[in-house]
Amino acid sequence: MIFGRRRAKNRVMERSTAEAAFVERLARHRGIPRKVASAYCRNPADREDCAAEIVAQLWRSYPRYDPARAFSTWAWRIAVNVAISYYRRGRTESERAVAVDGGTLDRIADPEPGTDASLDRLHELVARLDEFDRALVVLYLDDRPYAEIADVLGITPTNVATKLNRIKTRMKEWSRTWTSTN
Amino acid sequence: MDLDELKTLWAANDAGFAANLRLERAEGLSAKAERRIWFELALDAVAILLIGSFAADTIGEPRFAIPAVLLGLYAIAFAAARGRQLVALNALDYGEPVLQIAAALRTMRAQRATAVRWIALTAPLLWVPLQIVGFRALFGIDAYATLGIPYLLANALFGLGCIPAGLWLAERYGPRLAESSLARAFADDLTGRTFTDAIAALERARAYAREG
Repeated sequence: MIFGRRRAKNRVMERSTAEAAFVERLARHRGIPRKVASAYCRNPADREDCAAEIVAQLWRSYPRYDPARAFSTWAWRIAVNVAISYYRRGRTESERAVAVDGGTLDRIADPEPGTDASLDRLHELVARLDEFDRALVVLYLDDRPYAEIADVLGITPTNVATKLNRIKTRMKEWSRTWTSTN
Repeated sequence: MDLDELKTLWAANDAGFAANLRLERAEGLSAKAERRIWFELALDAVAILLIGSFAADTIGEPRFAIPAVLLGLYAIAFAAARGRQLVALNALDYGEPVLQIAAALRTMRAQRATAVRWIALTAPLLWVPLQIVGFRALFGIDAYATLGIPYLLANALFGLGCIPAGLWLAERYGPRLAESSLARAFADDLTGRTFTDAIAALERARAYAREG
């Protein structure tokens, strides 16, 4: 009986230690769930749900985390994997498509840096990408090195560079089209 | 607008999004998913036990035991398909690279679609064994004597006819249903659309990893 109680007490202590370590690590990288969620979800409620799912999966997967590896890379992988699943689950093509109406075009045609329109435009551009390119761009925008982006996605750093160049060219073209339309 | 110019904007983007990431809520989500898995497995186990018990009780009467064994095999196949899917899902390590997880999830989706398709297509054939076992187990009625062989044969034929009719309906009206609805998902599974989509998505993930 006494041993059983001691074991239960040890389990509680182990859990609270793991929880404290997890919370501390997540606090240092708390931007990851939010940034990934905002790249895959346009609607604020969806973004919050997606971010919560990411944190849930991070906590659930935490026992498998190898402390010898960077927490950020592991967290990015989980965040993107969860966000892609969230994005694909129950979303219709029409919901996924980028709604670029006349009003949006007006707002994003010539944005001032730092304004809401610039942010809208950034989201419009990101939303036009497929799920994998979107992850790549989010990591790039967050200033992650090519080696880490490659590690998160499971491709080579050369592949990352090539794909990023293509994306940059495509985004410039989209941006030009929008500007010339208005 | 250049992608490099957007980096500062991206960093500022975080500020406006004030999600309160609480661990208690995260735990709640995990526990809910876990409970659902166990509940479904418990239901499968109960069904298998009940059918198995009926088959054992009627072992000396093949006309009842054979339909029960058929139902039991069906229930076991159903539970195995679901169990396999659940084990695979639980074993999935989301800490692996994105393209690897995408490929694994898409393969699982294709497998699930195949299982659902076979289960749904063979289900109408079980209508007659279900009547025989159900009447006997619940009311003690002998369906052969009470309903009659012609009635049971007509039901078997009706079940057989349901298969092409179901496929036709799913093919014709499935795409008109709302894409997010359960009925649409079932129709897509039945006609093989889910399987085809999953394989195409799997190929896209593999191509993404290959393309330089």
